[in-house]
Amino acid sequence: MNIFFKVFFVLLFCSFNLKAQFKINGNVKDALGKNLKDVTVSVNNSTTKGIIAYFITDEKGNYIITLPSMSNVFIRASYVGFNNEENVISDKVFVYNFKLTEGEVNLTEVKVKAQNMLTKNGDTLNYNVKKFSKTQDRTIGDVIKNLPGITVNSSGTISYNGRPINKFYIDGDDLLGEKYALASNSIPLDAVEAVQVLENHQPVKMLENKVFSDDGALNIKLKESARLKVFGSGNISAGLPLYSGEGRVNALAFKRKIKFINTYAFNNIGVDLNTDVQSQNTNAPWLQAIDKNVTNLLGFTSLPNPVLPFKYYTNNISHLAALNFLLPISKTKNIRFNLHWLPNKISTDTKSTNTFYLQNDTIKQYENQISYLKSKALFFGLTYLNNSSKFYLQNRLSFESHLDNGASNIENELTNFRQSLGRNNSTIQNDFLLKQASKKQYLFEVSSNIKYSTNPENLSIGYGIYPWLLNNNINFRQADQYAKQHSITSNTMFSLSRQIKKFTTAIKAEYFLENINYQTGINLTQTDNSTTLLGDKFLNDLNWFQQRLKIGPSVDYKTNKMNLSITLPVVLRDINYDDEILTKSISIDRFSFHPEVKANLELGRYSKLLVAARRQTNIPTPQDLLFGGILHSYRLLSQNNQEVQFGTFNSITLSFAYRNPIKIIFFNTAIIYSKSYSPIISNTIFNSGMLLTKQEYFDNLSNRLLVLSNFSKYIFPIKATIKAGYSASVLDYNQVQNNVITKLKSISNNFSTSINSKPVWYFNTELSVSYLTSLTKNISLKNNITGVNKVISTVLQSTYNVNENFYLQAEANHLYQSNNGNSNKLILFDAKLNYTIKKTKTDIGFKAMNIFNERRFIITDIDGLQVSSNDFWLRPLTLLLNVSFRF
Amino acid sequence: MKTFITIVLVLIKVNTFAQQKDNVVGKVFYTFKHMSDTTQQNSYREENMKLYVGKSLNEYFSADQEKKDSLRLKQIESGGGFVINTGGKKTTATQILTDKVTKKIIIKESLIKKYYYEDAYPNIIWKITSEVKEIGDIKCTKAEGNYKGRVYYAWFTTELPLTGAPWKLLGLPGLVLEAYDTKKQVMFLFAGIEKNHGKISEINLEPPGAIKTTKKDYLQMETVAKSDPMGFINSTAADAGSGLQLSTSGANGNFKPKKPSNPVELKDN
Repeated sequence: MNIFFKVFFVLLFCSFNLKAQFKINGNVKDALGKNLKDVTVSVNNSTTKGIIAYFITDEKGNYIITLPSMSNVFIRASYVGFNNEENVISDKVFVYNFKLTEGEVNLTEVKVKAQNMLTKNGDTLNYNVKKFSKTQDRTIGDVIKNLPGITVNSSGTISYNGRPINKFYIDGDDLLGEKYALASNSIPLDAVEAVQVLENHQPVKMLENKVFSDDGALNIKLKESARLKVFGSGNISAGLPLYSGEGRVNALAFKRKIKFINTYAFNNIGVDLNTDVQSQNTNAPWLQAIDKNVTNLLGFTSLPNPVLPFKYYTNNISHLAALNFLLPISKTKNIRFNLHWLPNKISTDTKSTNTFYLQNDTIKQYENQISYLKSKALFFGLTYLNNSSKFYLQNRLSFESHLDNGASNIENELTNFRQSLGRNNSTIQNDFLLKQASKKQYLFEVSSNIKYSTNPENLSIGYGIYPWLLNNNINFRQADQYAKQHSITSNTMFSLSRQIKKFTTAIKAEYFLENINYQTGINLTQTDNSTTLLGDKFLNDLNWFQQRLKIGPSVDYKTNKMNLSITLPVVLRDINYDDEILTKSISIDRFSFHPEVKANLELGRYSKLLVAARRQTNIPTPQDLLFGGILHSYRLLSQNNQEVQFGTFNSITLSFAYRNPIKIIFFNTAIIYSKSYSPIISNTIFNSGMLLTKQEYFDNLSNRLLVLSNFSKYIFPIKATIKAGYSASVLDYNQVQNNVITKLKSISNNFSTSINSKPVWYFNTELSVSYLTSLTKNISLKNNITGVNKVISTVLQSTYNVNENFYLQAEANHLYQSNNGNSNKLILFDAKLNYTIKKTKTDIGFKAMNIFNERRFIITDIDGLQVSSNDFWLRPLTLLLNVSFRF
Repeated sequence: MKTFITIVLVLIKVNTFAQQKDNVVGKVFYTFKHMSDTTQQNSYREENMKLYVGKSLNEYFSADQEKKDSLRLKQIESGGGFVINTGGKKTTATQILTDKVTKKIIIKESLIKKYYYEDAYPNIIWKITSEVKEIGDIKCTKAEGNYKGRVYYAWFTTELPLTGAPWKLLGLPGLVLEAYDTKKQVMFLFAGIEKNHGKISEINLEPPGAIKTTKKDYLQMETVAKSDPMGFINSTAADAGSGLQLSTSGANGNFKPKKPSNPVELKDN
């Protein structure tokens, strides 16, 4: 390698010496052939557009320019009152003459209204944090969510102009990986100089300007003072109801030799600490791979989350301890250590009524559940990274464990009973990625992922459930469902690519190995306390083995204005599985083709267009092959009798993005059409309160049209950011209930808008409204029995600063729902006052939540032909005294 | 005899550049920021500036001063007697006229009356760097040069059919959109650009009603005005024969001009 570099440098210098003396010359005339004096003739770099050399024409209109290199440059003649002329410089031509035409001065008029509020430097957008922040903002996350062009969803995922970011950096360092919400919630605002968006960010340094990336990354640029010492923040509050409170302490350092964010937090007032350490989806949803991790097979029945802030309906006791360290070894190498521990207890008290509108029947189920679920999550990760301009190596070893146990009391239309649940889902894995560039523009990549997961689960149902099915119609005392999963997977990838001018060609091979073992069974406790293990119909012992080889070429074509990439892999699958209970062994080989085309086009300065299409063949998850019955919850039993079937998935995406940093306007829209085919469908059979699902053979075609749009703009006179979003989805699909196939069409529209304004320093306000409609049409019967469901949610928050140190804040949440002529509404009020002691950087505050003490709320959800009316517990009036401090 | 020759020479010289007028093609706006006291690192004096660009002539002046003057003019027109309030935001009365063809600079000053004189055309040796950035969506290249005791970074472009620079940071091709010294104590920030709409604005190298002078004479006069402002005003105003009264927001008789501790021009060259 060393010799190679020496030779390379010698050649490089030789070539410089050879090329150092290029001279180009020419003459500039006007349209009448008169020589033009004082014309600026400049030579610019074609990529950066930067000026390399120039000459002002003499009396005779002549110029002469000396150049270090003649490749990748263009020449421009400009003169006041004339139109600019440009010419590409080619290697062998040394004379460039210009004939300028007189014309109306062609100026794009620009007015910089707010100096340095949002600036653009190449691919980097700089948001001036000071200009966008409000008096009550304390952490950088408070500001990020209100920046034009940026959206943050309820789980903390940050998107820039409609696409989730691919990296979250703090001063250029990736300290938290994809679990970045912790940084948003812990970095104090006054430590930050700017929030930067790195457009088209390629995280691998050696691939910069080589491999195109259409993702954006976010960087928190810190103030110089924040890089010198350990600093932090904290807060503690307590109040009524008795023992209500929350607390948090963050210690941070971003020094040259060590960087860390360490946090401890607790609360029992509905603050979701899980989002702090949750993996954020770092890819656009429509481009995601479909491979899944080991999931939970057993659980309690649960309700979908209502369109309300989490804090109002969650009854929790949560703790979070997180340690994140980054130790730079050299300029390009670092070691990262991430650990978090999150014990969380969530209690629920819900009532729900589910109505299933079947072809010939309407079935109603009722449930009142009081439950708790304690979960302890532990995560540990150790990452080594070497990201240099010639070499990239990343290795990450991680361990993740989720230990759940809980109990619930159920009262339903049949009986009342108690159930308990235990789960222990652990995964250990190692990821390795190596990229190496070599001579002749070759790029070589190897990656490996090895993963072991296990998940023993147990669900005890404390009464003789479905005796007609499980126990020959004889009453019994208790049913215990157990399920054990073990999974070992490994994925090895090898790729070799070569860049020749505008083309990059690659060949990529990926070998995937998967072994999953499922063991499930049901134990019954009879009335005489004897236990019996149910027979073959409720037993599973399945050993699944899959080998998959994905191999194929890809071509990238890149110019200044566009990027086209085509991937054409073929997939060879070899699947073997043994069912020990049925004593059968199946072996399948299958060949499929997974083409993908993607094109990015720059449509001028502000806008770009993305067109993407792909096709792939899917197989169902092996749990759909489990023949023996499994009680997933006390309501739901699955029993399958099918072999592996192959389905297909096709999608086309068209997206357009516009951003104008001078006028601070952002707009994006995406249209995604997808079509999927599966030869099987899930059939739900209703029987005496039980839902039995079976996979049936059926040509199941479904298609979906999705439209997503976002707009945001900063309005200078009222110092406001307005945002608007619209999404619509039309889904055509099939549902099978009691052996009857129904064709359905689900249409949903979601319009949301917000305005965030601080017209004067002492007052700021934020109003957001979302309007959601959904409708399911029964195409088979040509009716829409479930009606149109409308949900309007409005949040208004206003802050008034009495003086520099004292502010008052009021917040109102309004929720309105109507469905089939029934409507209900809910209004929740919060208030807060805060006094800042500037000298000690301390805040003293008082907070009241749910002032009118609303205690229950009913909201309707529609899923296909099922209408659920869900009645939630609401957190009572809470009064808190709060102290927050900085150190 | 020597003085006579000098006067004759000056007059001849003045006559050679005094003929030119030019139409404004484009207007460039800048925000001028100056840290006049280095003990107060975050305190800048800000002023809105304009650059009128013509084919051969440019004019750089304060938009805030222009506003102030037009308000004053309105006051004069509305009533007979008037009061000049010298309090409030400090603005720059100096206007810089540049002849890009003959490489000349004319400075227009206002010291009760209007004066103009020729100044040395700066000879800044600019070093063009490979750094590029977008300012107001226009691709600019960074250049580095020494002028009057400070090292300036200037961001310039040839994308627009305009030639010019704020203040006296001349010598680069195309238009300078942003410039600041390395210590960021003197900054010219881009604030906008527009075409010359409607009525034709003119740049006149020989401002009508202004008195021709030399830099040396003018600076001498300025020194006198600063050391004894009341006396200077009264003598000039008496000469003008108007009922002018002056009120300063500071203590009247003891008005002493504050010399900035960190002037824009640190050296003469």
